[in-house]
This record gives sequence, structure tokens and C-alpha cells, in this order.
Amino acid sequence: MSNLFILIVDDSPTMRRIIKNTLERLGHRESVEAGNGKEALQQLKEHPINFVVTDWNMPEMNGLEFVTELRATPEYEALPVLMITTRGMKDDVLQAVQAGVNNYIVKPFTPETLEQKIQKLLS
Amino acid sequence: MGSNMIKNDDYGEILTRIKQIKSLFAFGEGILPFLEELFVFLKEVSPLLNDVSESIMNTTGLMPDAANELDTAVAETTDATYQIMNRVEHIMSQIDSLEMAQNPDDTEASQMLSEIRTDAMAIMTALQFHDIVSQKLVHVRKVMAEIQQKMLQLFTRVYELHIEEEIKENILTTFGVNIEKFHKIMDTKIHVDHRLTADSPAPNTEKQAPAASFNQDDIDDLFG
Repeated sequence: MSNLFILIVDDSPTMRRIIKNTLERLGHRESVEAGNGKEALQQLKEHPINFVVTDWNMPEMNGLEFVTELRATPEYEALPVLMITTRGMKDDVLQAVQAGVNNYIVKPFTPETLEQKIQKLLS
Repeated sequence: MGSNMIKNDDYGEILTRIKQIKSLFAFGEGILPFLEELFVFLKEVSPLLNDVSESIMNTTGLMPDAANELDTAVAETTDATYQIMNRVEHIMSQIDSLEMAQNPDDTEASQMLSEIRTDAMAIMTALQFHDIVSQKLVHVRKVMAEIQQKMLQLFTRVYELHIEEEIKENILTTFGVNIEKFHKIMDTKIHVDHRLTADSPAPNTEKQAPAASFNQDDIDDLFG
């Protein structure tokens, strides 16, 4: 159904599980998880990831630092990144865009919004 | 004779007042460097003051009970959320099995299964609230730790002021501090604030000023 290999980055196992379940129900069954930006960078080296869903607030390396690092690496320059976070301030969104996030969802999200954003990034 | 006694008492009272005023001047001199900080702080946290100071004294250097209760609340709700998730995932896998086993021509059954799946997914996505609330609780816990640390810094500075013991104790009592316990803490050199600093995460400086809130529609507009 989908050839996406998705990296789910969130420090909350609960949230990772919700995102994973939602993605599976939307037909995206290939995914790996990471608890912070550092782990995510490691996962990127180990798997053929072609889509990233990341939280912002995380320990060690937060989502913004992770995306900034990602965009500084030529290999991941064009990798689609969708940020799902509780941070809903205008400045937050602008900061995320500046860091290189391709789209943004404020938690709590619905499966429909997630699907819509994924489709938009893939189109 | 009686009137002389009254006069003497009056003089005594005046002398006492003068002594108190003298002490107040000494106190004023000593307290000026942090007076402003103190009032700003009081204005901000006065509703919490009694509970927090009592908590500090009771725990003598450990994190306050309230913070531990928040941790427990987060852990317990996480467990409960996991149990719900397990059930929902089980329901979903049962729906998958039923869909594979059912007669493809039975549209009514298909419709019913589809509705059950939608309901199950709705439960799963609703569990996001657990994560959102947990994050807020963790933030409250950090704020509490920071308030606690600031309180201790203030108490310590008052304690170290070169002013009369009585005035010093009056100030600390006003804060709800148990003087006896506080003396013990200071005398035995238990640096509670250091421990708190070590235990508490670094203050979150990511969001300092209130900013304009964005809803999902605004964000969608931004991304086109």
C-alpha cells in the first residue's frame, strides 16, 4: 500500500505507539522509532528511511536540533520531515520552518490530519 | 508615684521603639540588595508560599512530596494508558481476523466492522491526551523545583543577614518557615538548594515570553 519507511521520533513511548498505530491503519506499515534526536540520527544511518515524523520537546537532542542537524547533512537535505508537537505558538511554528521542517501538526492530532499532511508532503 | 511608673514605662517603651527602629535601619541596610527581588517574587508566588515553605521544611532537602505525587500520577496514568492501548490493539487485530474470515458479500457485517475499527482508532488517538497532560505535569514539577530553590536562596540570604535574630526570625516566620528546623538545616550545613539544583533539570528557557497562539488552520495556511 505504501513504500514509505517512516522514522517516528518522540520521547514518549505512548505517543510513538499512537503514531505508529495510526500510520499502520493509514497503510504505512514500515517504521522505526527513536526517543530523541540523537537516536533518530543513528536510526537514519541504519535504515532506508524516507519520511520522518518528529516531536519537538525531547531530552538530549530536541526535534529542532535534530532537524537542523539533518538539514546540514547533504544526504538528508530533501528528506520530508513532519513535526507533531504540543507547541502551538506562532514563533514556534516559524522557528520550526526556519530549521527545515516541511510541515507541522499541533497535538492532539487526528488520523485524517496526519494522512492529509503525509499526502501533501509526498505530492 | 503611679504616674511616675507610667512615665518610666513610657520611656522604656520609647527606648524599646528606638531600639527597634535602629534594628530596622540595620535591617534595611542589609536587606536592600535583595528587597526588590523579594517583593517581585512574593507577588508572583504568594499563593503558593505557605505550602511550598512548609514542604521545604518538612522534606529537609528532598524533593517535596507534591513533586513525588506528580511523578506517581504520571507513572500510574502511563500504566493505565498502556493497558487501554493493549486492549485497543487487541480489538483491532480481532477486527482484522474477522474481516479476513467474513463473507465479502455481507455488506452489513463489513460496515459494522468498519465502524468498530473507527471507534477503536478514536480511542487510540484520544490517548494522546495522556501524553499532553503528562508533559504539563512534568513542567509543573520543574516549576515547583525552581520555586523551591528560589525560596531556599531567599531564606538562606535572610538567615545570613547581619541583623538582630528576632527580626530575622520574624521575617522567616512570616514566610511560614519553621525556625527551629531551619536553624538545624543551616547549622548542620545541609545545602538543600545545591541538592535541589542537582536533582532538578535545567530551567526551560525555550519559552520566555507569551507569544501568539497558532491553531492548526493557521499552520495549514502557512504551509499552503
